[in-house]
Amino acid sequence: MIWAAWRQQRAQLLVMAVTLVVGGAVLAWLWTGSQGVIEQNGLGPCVADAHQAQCRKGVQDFQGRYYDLMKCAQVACLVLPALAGAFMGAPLVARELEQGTYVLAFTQSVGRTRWLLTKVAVSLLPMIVLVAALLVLLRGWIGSAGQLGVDGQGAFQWLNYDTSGFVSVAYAVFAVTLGVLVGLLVRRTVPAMALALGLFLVVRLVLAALRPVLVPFHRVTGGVGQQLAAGERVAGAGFLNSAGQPITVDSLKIRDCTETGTALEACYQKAGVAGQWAEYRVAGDFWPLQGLESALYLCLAAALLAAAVWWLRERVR
Amino acid sequence: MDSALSAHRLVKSYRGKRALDGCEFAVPEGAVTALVGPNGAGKSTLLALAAGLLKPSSGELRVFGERPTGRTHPQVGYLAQNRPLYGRLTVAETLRLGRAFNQRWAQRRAVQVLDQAEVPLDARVHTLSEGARTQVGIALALGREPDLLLLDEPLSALDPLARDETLRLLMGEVADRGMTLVMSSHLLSDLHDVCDHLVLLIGGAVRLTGPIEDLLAEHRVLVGPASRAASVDGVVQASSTERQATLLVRGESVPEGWAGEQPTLEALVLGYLRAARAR
Repeated sequence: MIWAAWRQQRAQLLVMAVTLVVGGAVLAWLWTGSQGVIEQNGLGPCVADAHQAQCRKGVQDFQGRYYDLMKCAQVACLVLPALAGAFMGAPLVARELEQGTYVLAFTQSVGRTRWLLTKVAVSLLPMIVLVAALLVLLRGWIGSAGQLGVDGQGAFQWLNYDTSGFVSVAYAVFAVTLGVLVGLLVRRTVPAMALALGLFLVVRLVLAALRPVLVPFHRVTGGVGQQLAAGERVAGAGFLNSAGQPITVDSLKIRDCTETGTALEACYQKAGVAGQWAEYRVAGDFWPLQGLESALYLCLAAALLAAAVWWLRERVR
Repeated sequence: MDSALSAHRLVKSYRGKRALDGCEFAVPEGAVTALVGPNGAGKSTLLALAAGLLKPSSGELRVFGERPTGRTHPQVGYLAQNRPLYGRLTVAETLRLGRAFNQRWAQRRAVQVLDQAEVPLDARVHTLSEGARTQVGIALALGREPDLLLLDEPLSALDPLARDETLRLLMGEVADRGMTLVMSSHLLSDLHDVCDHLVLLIGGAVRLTGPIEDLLAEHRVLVGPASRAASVDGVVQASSTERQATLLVRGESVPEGWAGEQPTLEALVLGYLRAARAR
């Protein structure tokens, strides 16, 4: 049965192998190249802190060469799960239904559940290996440049967050199972691919917006003149009225508040502003958020797979 | 003798429309059955139900005494009308697929079928002719060493020589292993030489079923005066000119003044088909 699944997905598995080899080689090449530049230009000390005076020239040079490449590599890894869902997940069953070949499989001795789970496993496990391997290389490269590269934007910058840790692997698992179910319901390969891609993007955007529900932001409030949450990734900030409620303030009214100390407060108070608030992420939020989000996607994937098994057993003629 | 395949009040509807409507029949073990009926009579639906691909809407269908439940009975081989095969696989890989999908697999038998039909094992399935695809399908079905083989329109794409060879091969399987064979066709002439059992399906219902010898013995074709046609009992179908009537009658007696003889199988089936259309 594993041979049968492998043989039918040979082309896709081959594409995945090529992606792994080529992608891995490119990432390794970029990594050694950027490492060479760091050593050659004596940028070693700047990896931990790129804002030192002695780093300025070297950082500009390094970022000119590698910053955009890092972003591109991150985007490439980011779209990998979506492609997996569209090109691996959606055609898995849809093609069989479209071409009628499922009748051949279902009139042998293999049960429908085992048939589906084997097919899913044969595409999903290599997919996990591919995504994980490329992510490890990507993180290794970007981490080696530290503050010189895109990590200077912090771990919660969206591209950095999505392409580090293990959430991308969970995204890929989810995307493939979503594609399988969509293909099973739509029964046509190309529409299923498009729909799987669209649905995956919608779910990703919606669930990304719901991250504060999984791990709430840290919230601080303070007086008008204070610096809140310095050095953290700020998710939101604004003003408070005297009752402590967040308010929106007409920026024209506070445009001229430039004095310091009590005069500043008085100026703001005239505009109805009594204080300010900020919400932010701290470094300790990273792994809990990664863990919870991954668990959420894996649970969704399990539910989709269970639905696919049910549908295949009960509803496919 | 036990039934290999039997139906009792079998109903299958698609979105409220009945493809099968109260089918009753039994196919004994070892029989070679022609499942005959016009296009759209429900032949393919009936075979797909027997293969466990579909579930009955009501009533029951039994394969070797068991109801198929979403899985093909291990003793059953099935070939669908559209010959589902993976086009990109070679013939040899298709057989390997059969081995992968089945615990019981007779590789030698499957290869033998294809050798006899001169289907090259290294050819990709999508390059084969319709007839060769049918042979691959039959080889795949026989590789399971089925005790009941269900073939949906097996001969439709075959040239006369291939038809003859395929039928001979299947009859060999029936004789050697006591396999039960059910073949559907909308053309009786394909099957009448080899079948000993008939299921005539018209409009989703079984109009006539049983051993062909018995069915022929139970019917008479009567030829007599048209004026007295109304007085004959048990008329299945009548056709008449001004003077002379030809009646297909269920019953062995021949009324006085009529010439009677056993119908041929074609005449019998045609009579029932005409009667159904006239209704």
